[in-house]
Amino acid sequence: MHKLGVDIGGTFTDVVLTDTRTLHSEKVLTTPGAPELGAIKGIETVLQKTGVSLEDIAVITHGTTLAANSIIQRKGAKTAFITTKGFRDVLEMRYEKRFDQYDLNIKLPEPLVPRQFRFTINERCQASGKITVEPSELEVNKVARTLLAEKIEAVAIGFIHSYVNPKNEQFVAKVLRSCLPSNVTICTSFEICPEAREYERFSTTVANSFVRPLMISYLNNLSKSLRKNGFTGSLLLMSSDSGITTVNQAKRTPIRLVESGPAGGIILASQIARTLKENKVVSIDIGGTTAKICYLEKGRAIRSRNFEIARSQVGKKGSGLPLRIPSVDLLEIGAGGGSIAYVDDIGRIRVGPESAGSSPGPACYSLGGNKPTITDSNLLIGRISKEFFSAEDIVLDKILSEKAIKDHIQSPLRFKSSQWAATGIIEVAEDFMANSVRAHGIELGKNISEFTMIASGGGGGLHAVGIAKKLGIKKIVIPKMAGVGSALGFLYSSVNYQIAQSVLQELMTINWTFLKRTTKKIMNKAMKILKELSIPETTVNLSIEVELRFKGQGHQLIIPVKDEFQDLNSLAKIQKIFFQKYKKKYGFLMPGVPVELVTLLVSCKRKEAKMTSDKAEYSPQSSSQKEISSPIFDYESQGWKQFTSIDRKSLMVGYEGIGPKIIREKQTTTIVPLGWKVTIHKAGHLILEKENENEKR
Amino acid sequence: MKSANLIANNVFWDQLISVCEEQANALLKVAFGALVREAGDLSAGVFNKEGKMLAQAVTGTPGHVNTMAESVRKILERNPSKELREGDVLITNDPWIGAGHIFDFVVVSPIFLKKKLIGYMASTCHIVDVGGLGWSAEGTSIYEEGILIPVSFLRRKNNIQENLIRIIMVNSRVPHEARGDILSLMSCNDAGIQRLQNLMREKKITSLQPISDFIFSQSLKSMKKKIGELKNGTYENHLSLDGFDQPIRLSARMKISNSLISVDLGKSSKSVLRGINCPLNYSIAYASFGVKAAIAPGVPNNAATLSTIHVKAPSGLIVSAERPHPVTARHVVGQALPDLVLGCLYQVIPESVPAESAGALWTISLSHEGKTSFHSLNVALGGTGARANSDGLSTTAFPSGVGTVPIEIVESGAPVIYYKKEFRENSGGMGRFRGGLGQIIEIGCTKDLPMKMSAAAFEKITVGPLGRNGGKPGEKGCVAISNGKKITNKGTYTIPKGSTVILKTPGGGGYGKPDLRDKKLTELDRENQLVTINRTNK
Repeated sequence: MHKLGVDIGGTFTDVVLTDTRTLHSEKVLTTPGAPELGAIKGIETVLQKTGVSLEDIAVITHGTTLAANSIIQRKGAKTAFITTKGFRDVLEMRYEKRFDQYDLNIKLPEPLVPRQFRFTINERCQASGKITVEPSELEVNKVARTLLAEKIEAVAIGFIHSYVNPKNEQFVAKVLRSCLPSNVTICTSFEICPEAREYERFSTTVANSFVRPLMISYLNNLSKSLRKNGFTGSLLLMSSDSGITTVNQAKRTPIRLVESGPAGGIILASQIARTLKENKVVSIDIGGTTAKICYLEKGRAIRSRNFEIARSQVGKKGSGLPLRIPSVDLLEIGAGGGSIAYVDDIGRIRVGPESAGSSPGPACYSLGGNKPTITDSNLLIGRISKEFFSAEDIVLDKILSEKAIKDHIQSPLRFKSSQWAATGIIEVAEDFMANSVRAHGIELGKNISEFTMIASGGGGGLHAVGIAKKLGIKKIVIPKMAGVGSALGFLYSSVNYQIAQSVLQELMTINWTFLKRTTKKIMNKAMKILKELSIPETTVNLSIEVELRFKGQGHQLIIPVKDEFQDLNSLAKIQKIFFQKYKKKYGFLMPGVPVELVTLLVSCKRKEAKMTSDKAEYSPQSSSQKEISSPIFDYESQGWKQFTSIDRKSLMVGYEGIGPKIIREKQTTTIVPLGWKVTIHKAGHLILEKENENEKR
Repeated sequence: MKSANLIANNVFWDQLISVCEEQANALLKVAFGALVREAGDLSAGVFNKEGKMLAQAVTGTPGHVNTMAESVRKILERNPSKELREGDVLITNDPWIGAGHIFDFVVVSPIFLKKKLIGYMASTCHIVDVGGLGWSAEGTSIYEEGILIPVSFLRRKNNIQENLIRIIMVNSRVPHEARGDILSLMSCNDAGIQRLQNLMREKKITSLQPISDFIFSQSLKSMKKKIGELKNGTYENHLSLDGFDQPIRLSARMKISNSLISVDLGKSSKSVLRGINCPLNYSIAYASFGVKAAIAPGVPNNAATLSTIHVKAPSGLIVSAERPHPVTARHVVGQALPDLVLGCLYQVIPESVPAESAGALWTISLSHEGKTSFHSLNVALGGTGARANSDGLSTTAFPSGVGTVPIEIVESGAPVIYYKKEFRENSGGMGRFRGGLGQIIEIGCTKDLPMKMSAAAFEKITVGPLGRNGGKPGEKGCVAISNGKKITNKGTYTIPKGSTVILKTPGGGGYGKPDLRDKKLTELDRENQLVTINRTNK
């Protein structure tokens, strides 16, 4: 059986083919106008090279940045938003907060629907779910006429408190459906995101409508092209929470696909974690513009439902549009190879979030960039070598790096050499990444030093040890084939679908019939999705969880419900577990304050994900192991130090070496300083371990 | 300085700021007040042995952060550091030591390393109720405004002082939440301390002295440089507020010389016998925030940065009220000060100074006492002033750093219902760049009950925020009850059964002459019904 993973990114489309033993990958340019063309081309190329035919492919798993880009570039459907009378501006009022305290010139994100296309209907539901005003058909018809006249392509409906009672939304959707042409998308907030907090719910619903027409036509075209070329297997889509979904489900809620690329990368990390039997893993993917951080436990990524897209300032919370969709809990920060370093107002080195990108790129690209970047710093102090640089047509020029660093960092701060200044840039950047990893871990309540780090992306191997040292992390994995990580990850994906429903009632006095009924309803919804995916129920775990907090708090803890709310006793049991967890996390309890059930969660997860390609053993591509001495400016030694440089391709399984070593390959370079040892795992991954710790074991 | 040290100091400084961020985030998670958790009304910072602020969480709101910069020192005056032991925690809500009113509690924890005291962690947050009149400006002295805790031990050698907590609880209308928030402050300091201790052990550092020296000298140097670029001179500005029931004058005389800025608020009105007085510490906090945001937004806030901006006023004024004057709604005055000092700076750096904003947060405090008592707290925000190169922000807090609580959360917490919360069309001051819009909010009760409403913070209902450089003023605020009664002073009002209250918040002032506005922007405003009438000449 053959499987294909296809990842359409902004620049490249990656295709990975696997039978049970081998992996083949292909990289082609993305075709932005009709992305399916690039995908087909990539698929054809990889099939040609391997002699496999499309008829032999059982499953294609696909992820795309199309939805995300359409939001970032504000190139989506002409969308209208229909909301409760009196609340026309929720989308534009946001949190009514400045995302930067001291910057008097901040720019707020433009809402996806401008005010002229935000309409209101006289209707109201109270917090209790009681409907006090029912919408009139006449009024809806009137709005529909305007929508027709304005040639609106997509409609989002979001009413206050619809997460408790969706009746009014459903009614308005039905009336509009009968008035508008069938190609006009209509989405209700209850269906897309039945959770309290109007701004987040509306924002998510509007974003779904905004990308939906585009995504429907794209998915139709892709399916058609694949069938035309002889594909008879099933096409599955990757969602932001790293679960797979069907084409039909993806067409209903395309917004859930926005982070499919990064989610693929995280699945690969989970896969590696399982292969290496690492229970606690933090994954850091250091790319050209940003670094992405994600925690994984027991081979599973931590997930969240708070996500922000299209930030006007990279890494600034609150400067983007909130999406409440299940996604892998990914923290994206503005630090990557192209991040620009500068000296701020008070003589501190700062790095990012501004990036030189690929054009003009770092100074050393000789494409006109004259600002120093992390890449320039790595080049200058010998950590990157130009022979091993991945972009074919670019020749790195160290002299340009040195000049940029001298002009912008060394001279203003009077460093005694440009190498010292470059070291300063790298230290500050690694510190920023380490702080972000730590802050995110603390938010999740993790003890970071117990974690193993999986470092991928072009900068992964370069900065892994630097970051690990600051965090007390003692083991690092540099995966093989990280260059097509997302597409590769798709191959390991499995079902993982979550439905969240706001409840907001006190736990011990909850409306029992409501709870039972609601649970049943969303369980059925989940079953329906499984059925669509043709996944037998026996291979899936359907689990119920609740989010609880002391009434009045804003943050909740997730507690599993093991007995599906069999009787009233189960509430007391849940409360007890909540108390234990809370005490453990915060050190004290809140006697006298009732516990509130905030959200009901139903998730379906594959019981056990069996990995096919584990059998694939790694074998070195070149047998001659050449070791060359290579000088690197080392912060700890406070000067130049000789590192032994090795080509990764030449390393055999079972290889063991000790620092200082530098392991070079096309996609990245791995630094192994003194005090660390390096081995090659049988699956081909580089394992770095802190030496003395290892001896103690 | 040696290159290696330069890098090490740079990195350690960033780490200190990161410790404070973590401390603030920890607090955000366990806090009870909706204003704290949803809107971010809190702050956290790390201080050196002398009680000087080294770093703060960037999320903190200026009224907390900048007052806290002085609080620690004042707390140490009352409770000398030599009496402090490991596991001790100090607390106070004294307005003249903390953040200007009794609702804000400051919790200070000494940091010990190898049995030696090396510095302090402090955090502040707003606690929903501490008794007295509750949220009201009608008190005529501090004694009516709630319970005041002098600098006391919240924890002594790791023993929580439950008696003290009980005293606070028995005085509060929401005792459990008050307890929870106070303990949260304490535990977020603990988390910060632990992090810092680990960090210092890893680095094998035993004292914060070297990093203090580095942070202070770098900050001082860059602040002086920034101020040095400004034209020396003396610049004056005045501003008029509604006051409790009669106008208040705020007056600033800013002197820029020798790379220092001094602001004399001495010609402002005298303090009054209503709770809108502002203690000097809170005035200093906001006045210096205004100056710093305009001239050096990138310089981190710390003792040295703040030392270059000297704000003063003789005691007894509305900006420097003394005990026992009432101070509950002190932000009415305090949050007007950034616009006041920005008006002085406009004479020096007109391009960096926005027009006037709606200013003080309008605190919406609705309650019913009796068998089915409830209390609902939220804020209503107006527009910010237009900038020299862009429109102002609609319905956004300035100078405060907090935001608003979602309607669905407010309505789930109390039997109140919002009938409207929408942009207030035509409220932004016209100009080459338009002021941000205010909003219209209409609120009633879902139960058949009358509600009590405090108008303590409904400000700028007699004069709208002024424009600059030929820009027009934003629309002034307006508050009325649906039965026809208009709110004319900052007292307490009753919203009768079945009636609603209608709040219209001020729009921000415009910047530049209206006839210079880009035609495309004018057209967009019209299409989006942000401006529906021809107001260019208004």
